[in-house]
Amino acid sequence: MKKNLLYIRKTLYDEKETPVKLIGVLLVLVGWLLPVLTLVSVQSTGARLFLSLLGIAISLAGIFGVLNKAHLKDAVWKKA
Amino acid sequence: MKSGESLKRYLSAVAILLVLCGLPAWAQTAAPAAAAPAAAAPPPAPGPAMDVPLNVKAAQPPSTDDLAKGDPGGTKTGTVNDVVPADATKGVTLADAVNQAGQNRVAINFVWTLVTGFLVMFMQAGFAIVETGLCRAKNANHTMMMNFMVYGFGLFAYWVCGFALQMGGVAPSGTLGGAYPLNHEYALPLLGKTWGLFGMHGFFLSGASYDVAVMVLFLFQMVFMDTALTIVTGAAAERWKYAAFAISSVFLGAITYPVFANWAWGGGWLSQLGANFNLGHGYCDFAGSGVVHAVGGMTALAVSMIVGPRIGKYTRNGTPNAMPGHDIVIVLTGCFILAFGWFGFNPGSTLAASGNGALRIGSIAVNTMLAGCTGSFGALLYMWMRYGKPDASMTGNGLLAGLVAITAPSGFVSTVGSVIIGFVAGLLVCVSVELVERVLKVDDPVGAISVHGTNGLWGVISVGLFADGTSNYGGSWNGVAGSVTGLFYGGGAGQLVAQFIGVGTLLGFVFALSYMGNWVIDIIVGQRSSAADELEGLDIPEMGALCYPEFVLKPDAFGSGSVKAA
Repeated sequence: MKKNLLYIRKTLYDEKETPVKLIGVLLVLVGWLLPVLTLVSVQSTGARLFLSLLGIAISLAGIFGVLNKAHLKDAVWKKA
Repeated sequence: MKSGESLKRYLSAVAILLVLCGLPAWAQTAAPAAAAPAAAAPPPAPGPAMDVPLNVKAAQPPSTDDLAKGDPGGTKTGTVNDVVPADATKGVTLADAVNQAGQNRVAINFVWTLVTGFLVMFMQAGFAIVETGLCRAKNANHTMMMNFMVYGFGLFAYWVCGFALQMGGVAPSGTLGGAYPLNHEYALPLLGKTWGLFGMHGFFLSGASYDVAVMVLFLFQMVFMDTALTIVTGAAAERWKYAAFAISSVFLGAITYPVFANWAWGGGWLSQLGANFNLGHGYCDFAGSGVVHAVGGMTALAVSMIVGPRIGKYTRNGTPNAMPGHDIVIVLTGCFILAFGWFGFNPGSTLAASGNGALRIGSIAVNTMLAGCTGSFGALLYMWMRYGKPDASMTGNGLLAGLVAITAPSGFVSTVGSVIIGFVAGLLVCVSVELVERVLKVDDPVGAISVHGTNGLWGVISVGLFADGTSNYGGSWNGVAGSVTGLFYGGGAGQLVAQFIGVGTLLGFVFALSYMGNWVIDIIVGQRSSAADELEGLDIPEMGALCYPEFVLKPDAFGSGSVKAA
């Protein structure tokens, strides 16, 4: 139990990239919510198509541009 | 006297014929009329009395003496003799015959759904040996045990709450006799619309959910959910701590998968995009390119990012090293098992073999075959042209990619559409594997992110492009009348937008939820095994036994084992 708690503390304290990862997750969620929440106000199919593609692009940017980069900063092969 | 008896016999025969051909439909449509207000209801049409015993002899059933002679042609077996009367003393009545016809239809659908579910369950064996074969020998026991126990972890989580969250508000499910106990969907009123979020009935399959139709639905949906879970074990293989794998699998089976599956299949908001926002028929995913494969693929991506690449996968400058699997024989055998199981996956998703346009199962099965075939063509051609050799494991992945991609559109497209969808998937899986490995530097030993994630999304999009408008599952889909029609067949862009919103939800919601859940697991128990364990191979440190104990594992540059007979 003590060992586990120590692990939790160590993980949280050592995690320099935590704020960046949280921003990444936020960006991913924004990409999803943008086209969904505008469904009510935007009636044109063309505009909805554009917004859904924009949302996908934002989510992909969050996943690969922010989250994955944050993980790669601490990648195991960079320490070898 | 004699002519009167003949007339009576003739009328009885006609009555039995009517019952067997179409009176169940008459009986079903008559019921709502009876429930309408008395003033508005038209007088009931005179019909045959339901409780009067029928003159079964008029149907000229074979006698026991006839049957004792044998029935090699199959013309005497299954007659009015086999209709079971409710009251044996009274004999067979019209009501008995009508009830029997209705039960026969549901029975056909039950058996079809169960047998196809059994096929899908066997896909677990296919996934297990594909993933194990693509890993190194020193991790074979660990990889196999993840695939073995993911079935149990997933099943238990799904029984506790996953099924209820997914299907708790799906009733009525016409093909299985209703499944009426599953009749409560939690819906959020927001922005003037109702957004179905999750089901509320069916926890522990207890109470009113102790119902035959619910059990059939549970079995079929459970094996689908478990397919999603087993995708992740491949992507995170060779460095995933077993305890973390167990918790992560329970989370996926209990929460992540059921919530998205409810939105797509359980009457949730994605399925209502057509009815609420005039976007085609709403999000359409016939057998689960998105619900099953992309959910598994998105979770695989999240977990792979969190656990990081295997030691030795990348050099210090980030160049990837090839880490080939240890047994291509079991990899390709596993691909065949999966292709076989897919005949349960896609045609079984009609949940019926009788009524409601379910005879399209033949077309769905052929589409499935063709897309798998052209998927392997696409991957084989790509690898042959790019690297000069037809790579075996990528050809196998091409087959699976084609099958994954056709899963969503299989019930809506023609054979030409399925050939194109499969071929594109075969090319896409090769490009995606290279992108994930070389550009994104996410280590995925079996290519699960590309096979299931990338091609799951492609399958979802392809519905909005290739649905040909010929399917007719009871006249409507997701509550919108007519047939699902994509952009290339004159359906406009509405259906495509609904599919893109589904893709956005998979990327934006499912990935985010999986990432957050697995991040918490990483903080609490740690997702990655120690470097020493990884270098030794996870069989001994994690499982306590080697998969191939009589073989000598010879360490190579990455500490990995190439197998030699002792």
